[in-house]
Amino acid sequence: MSREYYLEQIKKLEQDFYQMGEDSLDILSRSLKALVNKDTALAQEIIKKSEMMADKEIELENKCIELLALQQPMAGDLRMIGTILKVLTDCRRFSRLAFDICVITIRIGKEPLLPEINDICEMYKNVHAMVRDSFTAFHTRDVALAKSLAARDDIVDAQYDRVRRDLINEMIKDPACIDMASHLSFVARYLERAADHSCSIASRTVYMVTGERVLIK
Amino acid sequence: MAAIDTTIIKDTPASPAAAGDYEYVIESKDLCLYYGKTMALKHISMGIRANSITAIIGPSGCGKSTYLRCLNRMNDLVPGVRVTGSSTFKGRNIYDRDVDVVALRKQIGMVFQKPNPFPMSIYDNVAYGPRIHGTRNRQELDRIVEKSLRQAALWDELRDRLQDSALSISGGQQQRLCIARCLAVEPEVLLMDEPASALDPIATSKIEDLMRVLKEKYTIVIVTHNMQQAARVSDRTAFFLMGELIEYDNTRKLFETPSDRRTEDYITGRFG
Repeated sequence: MSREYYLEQIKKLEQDFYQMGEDSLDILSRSLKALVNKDTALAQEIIKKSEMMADKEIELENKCIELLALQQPMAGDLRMIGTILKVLTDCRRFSRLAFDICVITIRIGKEPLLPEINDICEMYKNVHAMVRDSFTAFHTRDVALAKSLAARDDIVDAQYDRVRRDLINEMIKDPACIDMASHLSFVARYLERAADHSCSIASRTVYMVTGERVLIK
Repeated sequence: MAAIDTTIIKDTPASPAAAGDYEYVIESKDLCLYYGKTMALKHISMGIRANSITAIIGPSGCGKSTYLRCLNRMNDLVPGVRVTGSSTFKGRNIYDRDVDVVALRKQIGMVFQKPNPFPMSIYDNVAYGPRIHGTRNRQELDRIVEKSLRQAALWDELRDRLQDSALSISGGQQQRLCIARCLAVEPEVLLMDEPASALDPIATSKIEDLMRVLKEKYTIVIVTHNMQQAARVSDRTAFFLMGELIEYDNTRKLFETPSDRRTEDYITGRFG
């Protein structure tokens, strides 16, 4: 006789984690939208949602601990629960980075942005795709997709370096824009960190699927 | 019965060095066992290393206890049993015609699921085996009883009750007494068939702690339904299914990343 209740719980945990990933990515996307549109009301809303994601992280962590304590999972189930326990932190970081972007959005208020915001939006396209693919790789057990994130992270790193350099040049040219340039530099940095967290999810996904330890960065 | 083959059954104390000449103390090759026309074990090939704990897991009826009982020929007692292939103990086929089965079972001892102390004193239970094998000297018997009870982590609990009935002690103590009784004849291998399944968690953990200590001197093979127990105590684990050995690997590897889908499905509760 199979362990029906346990199998249902395992399935639900995975679905809940996947949903948390979807929600985190949505929050991250909308935080950038709030910045570009100078939508402080949206920024406030996202800050609240980000705080709710902290509760979700604890809820899922508790579920993992409960399954470990009460069901003694093995093999693929054990690797999945161990992986979720680790990548929950990465997942939570997406909404925390969105929170930080929204704090900047509120500080900026109605001030005009610098042209580099366009490069940041371009950079975000890649970051968004990486985060989405890290969750897709997890959900579909796609090791090749997970491993593809390494090369894509290099592209994001290069984009970040270019944006940061351009913003420093703006500050040198016009010291009046130092505040705005440093705000945008932080936003670019947060997005680059989001890409790093997607790589962390990808690394753990490879372990979850194969048992093999790889470092994707 | 043929004469005892002293090359494999002579009275030597168990030690790593004694088994060191062989990669495997016990090695089965293409072992098949039939109950009448029913094939209960199908071409089992596996080796058991000295001074290790090997766990055998699998659903009911998979052949794990049958395999364990092959290793000291306990299946000889079952009518209609036929064995093909080989199982060697230190290089010599256990099923050779000239093997003295009584002497073999002295070297490959067995502990059963239900504690089965004899209805006599604690002392006499432990001294039973050595007496059968000819030890009569009281001081020597005292020494063996104390040593065996110490090895079974029972001496401190029972040293003042040696003349009490073995049936008066707790189930967990009775099981450790049965282990002490095995150890008294200085075996090299201990076969354990669900040794803790009738015990509470505290008594179970004492048996498991004891196994970890005993593997320094003995080779242990344990059959268990409790996968967590296999994972906790064993170095290597074999998964049996319908008489076949499906997978045999380091315990951590088998429970973390099994190679065979059937192993994964069983240990994660998808079937069984």
